[in-house]
Parts: sequence; structure tokens; C-alpha cells
Amino acid sequence: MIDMVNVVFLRDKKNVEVEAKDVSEVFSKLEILKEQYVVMKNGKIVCEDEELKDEDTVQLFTVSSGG
Amino acid sequence: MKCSRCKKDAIYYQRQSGQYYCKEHFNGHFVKKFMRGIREDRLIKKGERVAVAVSGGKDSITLAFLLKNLRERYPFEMEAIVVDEGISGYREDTLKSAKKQLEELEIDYHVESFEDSFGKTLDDFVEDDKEAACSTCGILRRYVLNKKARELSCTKLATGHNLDDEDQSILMNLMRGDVIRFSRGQNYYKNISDKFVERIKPLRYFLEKEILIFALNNNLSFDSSECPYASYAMRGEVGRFLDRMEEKRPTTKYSLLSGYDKILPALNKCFIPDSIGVCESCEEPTMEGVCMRCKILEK
Repeated sequence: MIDMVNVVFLRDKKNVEVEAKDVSEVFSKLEILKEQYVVMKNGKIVCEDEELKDEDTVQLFTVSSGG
Repeated sequence: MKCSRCKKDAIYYQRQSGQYYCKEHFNGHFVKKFMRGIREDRLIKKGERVAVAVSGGKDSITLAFLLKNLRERYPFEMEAIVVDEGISGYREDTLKSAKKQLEELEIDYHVESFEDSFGKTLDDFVEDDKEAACSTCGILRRYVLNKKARELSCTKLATGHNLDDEDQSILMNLMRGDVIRFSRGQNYYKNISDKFVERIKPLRYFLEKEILIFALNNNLSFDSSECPYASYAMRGEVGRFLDRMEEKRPTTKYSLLSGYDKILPALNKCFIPDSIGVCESCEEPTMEGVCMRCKILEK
């Protein structure tokens, strides 16, 4: 079964769907850097190896801000 | 994964130490490292009066929060200075956020605006040259912070610069060939003028990502938007380069700052004078005849 995960970029208010088994795969599939985001699942911060299942939603908090 | 110290779920993997941290152990580790930095680098003396520069972003809010907690155990005075540069569509929200969190933390603050200090907002200053926004803002902001901190009789000015900021500045100054700025990136500014309030950067050894995690863990109110002028800045490009390097070669960011700190004493000796003069126009300290602030105001 394909695990489709909903990814929310909080600052850009952008949603994308991606096929991923864990957070690390979200980063590699979307070609984004782990250094640049903190990941939250169900309102809790999670590690990069956090497993994901179908229809899970993860929120990406952009690290850099200001000037 | 589980926390390396207990059986709770980990929220962060620290690559340089190989440790997994749960929320509680991450917070404990962060606060301990902060306190150790203050103590070992002797950043704040007992009874000293410290001004904290607060923008409303996660770094300065985290710094204010930590200093406030430190004050409960260690006697010193503190006040916050919030600078309103006048950046339309951006500063209004960050200002609101700064005031709200400072009020919650019961920290006295002073808002200083470019408009009151110089008669113009940053938007006015850079209307015809947006590429100059960050350098103009930096020069004017440092002037306002220093002047206000001095007026408040503060002997230290604490800023929320993090490890990422420091690494970016190291590379940027080197790439620009700006040897003077390259030589003065340490925690303390060498005291070269009575008119300079010594600056301290207690978050200098913390990764920006770790500060964000700490701010979220502690439910701090901060603004996470990006300044509209950031896209014109070299800093963002250098930051993205460093992020890519860190991803490929973990600990790059730490190594860069640690290597830089080792050569700093030699750089200080070679390029930073023991004392400097004052601006012919405003009498504020400067290494040139007329300071950068006055040059901007004359334009």
C-alpha cells in the first residue's frame, strides 16, 4: 500500500502530498534540507526517523526567520 | 527513536554528539549549556545592568526568556530594547509579538524607532536601493541599540545572534575582504571606546534549529516571518550554502566557528586598534573620520 502523507509548510501556507514511510523520506522526496525545518506531527516535534502512515499530516516549521 | 537518557520519545537528534533528546532532556541540556556559557565566558557580572535587544523573533525572545530565568538565581538588572526600523507589512506584527512576550515575561522594554531617531523609516532610506537595506538597517540599528543601552546606564548589550548567524558573518566578511569586521566576531567586543556598550552574544554556540525547538518546547510567542528585504541579502545565500554543507558533512557549522575562535586572538592583535576616535559629525565612536551612520544620513 502506498503511504500518502500530507505535508504543510507553515510559513508559506502551502500543502503538498508525498509518498513517504518516514520523515526522512519526506525531506528526500521534496528535496528540502533537514537543517531548514523543524517537523511536527500531531502538534509534537518529531525526529527525522519518525515513521509515517497513510493520511498522516506533518507540519514543517521553517528555521530561518527575520533578516 | 528513544531519548538517549530516558525511555521517552526523542524529539531531536543532535548530530555532533550522537545523542537523542526527549523534550525534557533537550530543555535541560539547552539551559545547562546556556548557563555554562554565561559562567565560563563571564558574560554577565553580579549586579550588572544588561540591555537585551529584542526583535520579536525566536532568537531574541529565547534570549530574553533565558536571561529572565537566570536573573531569578543570579542578581543582575535587565531591560529590553525593541527597535522599530519601519518596515511596512512586516515590522508591525513582529513588534506586536515582541511586546506581548516581553509583557508576559514581565521584562521592562523601550521601543526605539528609526523614524524618531533619524526622521525616516528604513523603507524611506532604501526606497531607491533595496539591495542596501540590510547594511543600512544593521548600521542604524546598532547605533540605536548602543545609544539607548548607554542612556539606560547598561554595561552590556545582549543580542540573540546564534551559531548560524556567526558562521554566515564569518564567511560574508571574508568574501567581502572586510578584515576589520572579520576580526571582531567574538562574544565580547574589545573595549575600544567608552561610548561603546560591550556586546555579548549568549546564544552564539547554539544552532538556529535548536533555538527554534527550545522556543516551541517552551511555548514562547515569537514571530517567524521573514523580513521582505531578506531576499536582497547575501546572508540568505551564504546560510543556504552552510545548510547544504552541514547536511553533507555534519558538524561543519560547529567546526567553522570553533576554527574561527582559535584564530581570533591573532586577528584581534593584527587588525583591531586599542582605541578609536569619534565621528567628526556626531561624536559617536568610529574608525573613520565620519561614521557610517552619518554617511547614510547625509545621502
